[in-house]
Amino acid sequence: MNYNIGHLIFGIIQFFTIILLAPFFAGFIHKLKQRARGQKGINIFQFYINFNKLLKKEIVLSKDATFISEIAPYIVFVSYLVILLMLPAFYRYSLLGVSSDVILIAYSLALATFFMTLYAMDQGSAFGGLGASREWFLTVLSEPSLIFIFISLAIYTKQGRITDIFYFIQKGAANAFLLGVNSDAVSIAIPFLLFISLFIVGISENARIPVDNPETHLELTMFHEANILEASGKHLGLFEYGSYLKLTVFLTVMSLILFPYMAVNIYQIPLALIVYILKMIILCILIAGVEIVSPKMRVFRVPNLLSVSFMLSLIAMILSIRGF
Amino acid sequence: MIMEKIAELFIILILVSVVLNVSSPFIKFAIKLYSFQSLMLAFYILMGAVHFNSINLYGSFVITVIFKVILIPYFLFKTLKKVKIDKEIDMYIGIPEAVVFAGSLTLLSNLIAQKIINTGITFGSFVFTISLATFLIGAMLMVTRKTLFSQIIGFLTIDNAIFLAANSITHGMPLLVELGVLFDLFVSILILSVLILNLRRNVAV
Amino acid sequence: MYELILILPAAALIVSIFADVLWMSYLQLAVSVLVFCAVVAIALSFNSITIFLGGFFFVDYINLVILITVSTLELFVAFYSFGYVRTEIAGGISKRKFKFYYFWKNLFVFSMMVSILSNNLGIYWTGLEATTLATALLVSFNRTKESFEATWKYVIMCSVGIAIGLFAIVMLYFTTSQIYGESLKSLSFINIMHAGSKLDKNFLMLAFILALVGFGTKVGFAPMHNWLPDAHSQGPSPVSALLSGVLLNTALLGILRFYQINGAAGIYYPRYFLIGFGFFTILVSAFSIIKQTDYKRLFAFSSMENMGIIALGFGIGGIAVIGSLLQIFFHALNKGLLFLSSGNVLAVTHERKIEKIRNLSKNFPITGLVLLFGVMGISGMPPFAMFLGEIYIMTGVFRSNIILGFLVFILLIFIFIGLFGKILKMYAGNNDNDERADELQSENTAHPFMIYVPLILLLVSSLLLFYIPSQFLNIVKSASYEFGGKIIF
Repeated sequence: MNYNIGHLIFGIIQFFTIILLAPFFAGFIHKLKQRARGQKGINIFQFYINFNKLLKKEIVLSKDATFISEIAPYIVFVSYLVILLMLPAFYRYSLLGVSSDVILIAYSLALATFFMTLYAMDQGSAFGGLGASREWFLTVLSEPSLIFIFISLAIYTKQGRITDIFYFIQKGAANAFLLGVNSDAVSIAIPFLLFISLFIVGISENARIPVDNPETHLELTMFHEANILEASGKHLGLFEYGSYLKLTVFLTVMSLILFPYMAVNIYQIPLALIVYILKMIILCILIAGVEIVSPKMRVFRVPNLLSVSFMLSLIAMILSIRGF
Repeated sequence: MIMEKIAELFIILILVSVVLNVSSPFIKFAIKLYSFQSLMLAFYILMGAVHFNSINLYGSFVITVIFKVILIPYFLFKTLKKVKIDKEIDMYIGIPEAVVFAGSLTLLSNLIAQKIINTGITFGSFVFTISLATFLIGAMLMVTRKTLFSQIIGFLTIDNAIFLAANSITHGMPLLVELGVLFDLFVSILILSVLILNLRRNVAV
Repeated sequence: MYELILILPAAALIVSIFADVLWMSYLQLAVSVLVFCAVVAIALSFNSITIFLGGFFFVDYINLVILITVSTLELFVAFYSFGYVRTEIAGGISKRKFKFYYFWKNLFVFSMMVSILSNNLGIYWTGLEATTLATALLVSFNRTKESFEATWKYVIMCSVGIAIGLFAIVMLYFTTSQIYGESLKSLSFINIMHAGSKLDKNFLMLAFILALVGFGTKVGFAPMHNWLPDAHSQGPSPVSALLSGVLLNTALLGILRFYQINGAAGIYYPRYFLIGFGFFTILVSAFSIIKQTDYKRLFAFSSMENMGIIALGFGIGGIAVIGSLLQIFFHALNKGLLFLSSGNVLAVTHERKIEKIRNLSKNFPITGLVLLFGVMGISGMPPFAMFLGEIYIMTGVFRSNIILGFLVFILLIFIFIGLFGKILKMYAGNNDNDERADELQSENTAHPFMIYVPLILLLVSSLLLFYIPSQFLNIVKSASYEFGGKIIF
């Protein structure tokens, strides 16, 4: 891959576009949910305002807090940024496309979770420990399926980097369905399986309703919220923004599996951007729909759901090993 | 080509519905899933019919829809309404374990299918793997669950798996035989429903 | 002539919906006698494979043996039912219930005939599944909790087993459709045998294993036998006799068909599967017989053991195949008489436990004696015909492998001890603790047909040791050529 200045510029544009759009998607889901319940609903851009407000506020730390609490919010935020640097949302050559290994992406997500739970425990509050253990309960269960999803993508396309993976799928699909070239490497079934699996993992990792409900500050139902209960000011802002970024990461990967269309040159960028936003809005509506329809699950039924996701990704991996 | 790819999607949906069946203790949901699964099977047959332009397969599609998608679930719902149970409580192994076990069964069936079936024989790439996996998972449902309804669902799942295999390696059995098979299946479901009602009257199911 | 075998049970089936029960029992006698006569006429004039009804049905030597078995036992069961219905109605069971009895029994016999005679394997499958469904409501005839549970087990296990059998047929269809194209022709048994060695060997092997497991569930081979003792012991006695005597053979026919096809394609190692399953079945049934406390279950396990011996004989090949074919016929008669005579005891005493029944020699002089001699016959004692079948099979087994022969021999002795000891206690043991009114429990309350039919069966079974009709022997010999083409010792 030869790097030229165009790749650099458009990579930077892509990166900042996704980052700027992230709170919008979260707000959009929130708004949809509220409207479906018959409430008036927040402003779609409310989360930008919240973030701006939080940045101005003073940070209060517990007197037991160590240096972990100082660095954890930044590490969480930065690890999501790193993943977004790698993802080819609508332009094929993302900034860190060269080193965008699938394993790296999976474990950057785990790193962020790790530091968030460290922060929670470092504050010395009772809820912190509780939230951390619950968070890990979920992460441990969803991690295998996440890894399997990425690995089966890699095996399916025989590529290691995430940019190459989706470009391969895109090219294969275009060959098969537009030009009619017979290609065994294209399948509708395997990406579909991966999509379902990733959707379930995304719901559990992003604290969405059947698994967790971050809108209630009730300690019995808290998963994600218990971790950042002690955070304030800029730290809270970073954590909140981090969670929007995480949602965006999952949605972007889902959108790429569902319908990979990435611009390879400048002229395709406007169309690709429009398609990307359209896909994301459809996915947002899907997630909001799931959240409205389903009731919150009992904690001990969550493994049932996640085991299904694990199973589906396992099947996808088995089928992709056969080389179809 | 495209027909085959879409057919693969339907096959995968069959397996997904079986896995969801393993993961859910609700019987009503299981019957709905069975109906869905049969519909996917019927669509798979339809894709084959369009692809090979075979009248036999069109006929097979129609009788599959009539018997498996409409009649059998209808009678199962009717029985369920009379029996008034909604949830499977008696299971020998927990749901997550069962799902993971189902995954290993899929792995096993992939190994077996690779041994006996060359690629290119079947319509759709991994049909035989899925059919074998569905078969084994259906058997697992029957063994690990005690409620009579779950055993019926397991049996029906096994039957769907055999239909899938029959329609993948051949272009469907002869229509006369298929009609006989489906009619027998339907009557056996009726008899099992009668038995459930009678057993319910005598003892707790 | 050939069509008559299928038409008569079908006609009886339709009439039984409208007819009165007592009138129906006369009609049933007529139908059974006619079917028997038709089969005898066929057997006497039979000299080559005959196809009828548009090629969907055929008669060859192997299914002729089973056809003779079915029609003979059906004849006796029809006579027994004549008395059974009257006794039970006098005992207070409604006539309406027996109307269903005749309906389902005729459906059962009809579907059994269909699957025995079918040339098309798909039709064979349909008929076999139909027998399961037809007997389901016969097994639950008494409408008790136990009988419903037994029926549930029976229907579920057999349906799954036969579904696996369908898988085998699908495999076979796949290989044959490469030769004959996708039509009914490639399921036709005669065509498949013609194709012979051109078939794909891997798939045939797989199809045989699936058929062995699938139809083997219905035969009652050992790991899949759980349903058998319950279902056979819960049904009314005439139905139990038919289930044990002939339905198991009908299911075995499916396995034999696949075995034949494998033989025609030049695959000979399926015989080891038959030997393995047969031996394991004998082993399991031997240990189960020893600890049984229910006499109808005892006989059910005994049929399992006999199916094991028959499968063993087919697997060994050579002279044992003749033994197995004879055993199919003789076992049906002998097991019929056991179930029918124990049905007398059950109908009068309403007691299933062995320890509750003592001193049969006093209250049931004829039935008790028939039971005692019948047990001697079923374990292969000389004055009865099963001696002949078993001696052929054992000779074959001893010739092929002496260790296996000794093992089977020891197991047969176990089975003999288990059966005979228990029945002897029932016959001659004293009823010390229970001093109920013995006069009420006499066999005189049963209809005379119920007492004398098993006696005649016993006489026939004894007579067949000394005189077997030469045409029947010819049929058996010709049938054994189908398996014995390659005798490997």
